[in-house]
Amino acid sequence: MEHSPGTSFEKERGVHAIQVRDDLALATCTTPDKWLLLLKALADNGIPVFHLKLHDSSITFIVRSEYVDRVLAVSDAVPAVTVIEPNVAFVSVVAGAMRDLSGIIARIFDALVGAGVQILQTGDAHDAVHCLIREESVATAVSALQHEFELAAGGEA
Amino acid sequence: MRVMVQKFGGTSVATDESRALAADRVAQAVEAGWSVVVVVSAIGRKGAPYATDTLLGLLNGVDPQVSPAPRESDLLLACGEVISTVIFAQTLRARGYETIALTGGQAGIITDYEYTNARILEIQPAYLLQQLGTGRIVFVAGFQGATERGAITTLGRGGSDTTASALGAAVKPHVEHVEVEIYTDVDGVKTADPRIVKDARTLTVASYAEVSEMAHQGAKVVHPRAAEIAEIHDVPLWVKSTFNEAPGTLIRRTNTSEETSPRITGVTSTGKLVYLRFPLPDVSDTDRAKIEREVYRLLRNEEISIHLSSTGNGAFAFAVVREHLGRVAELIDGLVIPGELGPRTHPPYGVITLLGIGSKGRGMNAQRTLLAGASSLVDIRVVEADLVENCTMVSVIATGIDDIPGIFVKMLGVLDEQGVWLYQTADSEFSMSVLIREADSVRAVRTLHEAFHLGNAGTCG
Repeated sequence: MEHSPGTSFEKERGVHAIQVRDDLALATCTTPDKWLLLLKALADNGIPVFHLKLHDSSITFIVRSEYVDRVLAVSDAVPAVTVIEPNVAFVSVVAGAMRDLSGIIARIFDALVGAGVQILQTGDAHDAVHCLIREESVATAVSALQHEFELAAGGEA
Repeated sequence: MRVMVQKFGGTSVATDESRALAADRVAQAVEAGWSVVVVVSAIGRKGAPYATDTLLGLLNGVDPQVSPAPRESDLLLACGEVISTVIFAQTLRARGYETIALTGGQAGIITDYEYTNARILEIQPAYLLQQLGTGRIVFVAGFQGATERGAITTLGRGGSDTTASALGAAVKPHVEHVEVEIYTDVDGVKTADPRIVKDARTLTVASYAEVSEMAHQGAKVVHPRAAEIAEIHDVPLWVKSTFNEAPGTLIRRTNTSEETSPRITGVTSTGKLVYLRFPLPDVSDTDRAKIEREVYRLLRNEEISIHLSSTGNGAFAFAVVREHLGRVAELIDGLVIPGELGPRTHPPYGVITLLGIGSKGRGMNAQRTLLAGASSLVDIRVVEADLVENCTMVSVIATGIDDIPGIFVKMLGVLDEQGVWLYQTADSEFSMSVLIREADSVRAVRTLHEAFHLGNAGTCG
């Protein structure tokens, strides 16, 4: 029987990349009864927000740095109390078949806490775990994660 | 040669009547001039004599205390698809067609050695193509392959969808044209589960990314692994009903669907989850991170996955699948995490954190008693988790979320107006999700489906 050379078919399983998204700001609204009004006002003003997280007496969300002034202006108008932490970045660990893997977050915490990187926020999707950190820690974080997941330097393996 | 790969699920081959309808689909493709590969799942669902779960039950029933060897599990599990494949091939043979039935390994599917969840390494389609060239309909048992040394392996969840998609990809370089059809008991990819939303609409076209996201978020039409393989190899994928003549949904490589983007694709719900929130109001970020790390390490050791993780603002939180709650409670309730000792020369020399999980475990009280003797030397910080059982996740799937201002806010606002309590949210490139009480799930899905005009009477926004 003649054999064709064969073809590789599936995505690699496991962690295969570290990605960085910088130039972001973390916004914290500490006026719990106004958070929906604030988000509506931001949407009405064309300001995209993402990575919204609900906390006991506050909400946090991420905006691109270019929108910080407008976020504060809209917040004042609502009115709501919003605190901005500028110069933050997402470092994301990207994996195939993430739901078949357990312990990714544990390994991320091992790597980042061990490297002295403060994790401001976390989030996860079916193909990635995201950690919000300060921009000044990005290089350290990427290096630590590359080492932990045995990826080549340069961001992606 | 134009090749059509048709995959039929368990319900499509479960009875003489359904098998006859499925056979009609095969015959129609042959009469239309296609060379046809048919991928078949095991007959029926749990309880049916040859269904995968039934076979697994037989094996586990020998002695529940002794786990079967994964290699032998796969040898048995693969039988269900072999049986249905031979029977379905015989159905077409009885109609006068030339057929041949193959196991996954005989069809050239080579996998790694990860039994019960094997990954396809390559497919050698020469024999399959040779058989198609003789005019035969080639039937291939889904959900399985073989290692390079010939051991039978199974492909894990969604395995037959994966087989169909991968066979389409394998023959593509060797033929004029290939398409894959996934036959099921619904007439395509729906904007919501039609059992929940009566006017859920069938999408005429969808992108691989949309369908993959829908599947990851709970839709049960095509397994995401099959969609990913089809996307990698640019193989058109159809989802159609075995039981009616509806045109179905075409899934293809494009970021637009129905030629419009951005758009809202559908609403899904998934998972029986438990949400755990650990309040740490007066704890430094450094200590919080250490506490989190210890908790995640323990869960990792037990291979318990966590979802919807969140940290900061005086707490950390995550969700686990409900069936894992007992084990999580055993692991965490009563967990003692020592903090770093301070430079003090007199007590308290540091802080010890003691975690508890409410009524699910008694470990915390036992540990608190044990630690009482140390309280003159160190501070004991007791942290009891807020536990929300019976949660689920409802998601809105969308393309171009960044280009639809206010879509997330609209989702949250609509649910708020309905009095649906939101415990947490998550968003990604193709979806926005909320963690809510399971009791609110049906209402939430229906409300969102209506709010985003996704039904038959509406338009896709």
